[in-house]
Amino acid sequence: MTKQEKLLNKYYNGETSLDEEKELKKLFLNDMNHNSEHDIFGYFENEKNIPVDLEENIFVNLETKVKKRKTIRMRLYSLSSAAAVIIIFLSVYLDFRDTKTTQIENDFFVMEQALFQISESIQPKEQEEMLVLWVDDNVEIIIN
Amino acid sequence: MTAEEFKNKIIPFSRKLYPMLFRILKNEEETRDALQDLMVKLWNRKSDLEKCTNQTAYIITVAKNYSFDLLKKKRPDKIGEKEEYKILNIESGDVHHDIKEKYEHVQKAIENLPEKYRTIIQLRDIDGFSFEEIKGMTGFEIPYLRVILSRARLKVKQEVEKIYDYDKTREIAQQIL
Repeated sequence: MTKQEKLLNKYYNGETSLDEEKELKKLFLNDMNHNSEHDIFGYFENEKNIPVDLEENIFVNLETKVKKRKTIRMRLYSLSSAAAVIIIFLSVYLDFRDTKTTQIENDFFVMEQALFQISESIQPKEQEEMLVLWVDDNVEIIIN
Repeated sequence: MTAEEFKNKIIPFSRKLYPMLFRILKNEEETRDALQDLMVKLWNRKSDLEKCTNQTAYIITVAKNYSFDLLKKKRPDKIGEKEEYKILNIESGDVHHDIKEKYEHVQKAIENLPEKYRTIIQLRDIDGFSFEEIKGMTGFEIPYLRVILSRARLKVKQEVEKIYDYDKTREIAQQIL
């Protein structure tokens, strides 16, 4: 039994390693004798049909995609940090404005109080309380 | 894992996975896109990949799940690019018509096998996956895989020899010579 036949037997028993199968396929594909293995192995090889640039192409596209994602992520980061800065400034500004308004309101209140006190002191004393007993078109009865 | 490491360790799997995905998608462009997508998935999981003791098994599992998803999405009755190519070649009277026809017979013999037999012979003889890898994809134990593979190979040989009587051809050739 030749080496090729031995390998073939092993192959049909499902006992060959991947390297042995490669060797066997090579032997049969180079063999000019026309047999079923020649066609079967030929078909297997033909089915592989892998584009030459496959790996390179995938890597290049992957790099572009990853870079794009990075840029998008960086943009998102910068946008969110810009938004955060705006919010901080806005809240500080609003807070400042709020304290300013409260201060003005307080000042105004103090001033109003002061003015009220002044006006009260200037105004003549109100008439003392009176007891109205009767009011008519002709008669008014009042007790002071 | 750096981009360079990924290129050297993981991207080469695309060659291995190409025929399997092509059988599902039957179109070169779609297969390239699918592989691209699969590689992006693996890139996003590169930290998991690094921790893995068996990277091959991990990749095979991801690829298997991915192809199951593809199978679910794919319409079953689409004529593949390869088939179209073959039809065109036959019509234009290609010089390799005879070989193409023989390959078609082998393909038919494989397609007529029960699904389990067909999958295993394709994964081993076309894709060149190791038994460990096929085990990862199918879940069958290696001794059982060997038995199925042996039966599938013998069945294909038997079917192909039914169509072409190779010994007779040889005899006739010898007579002519």
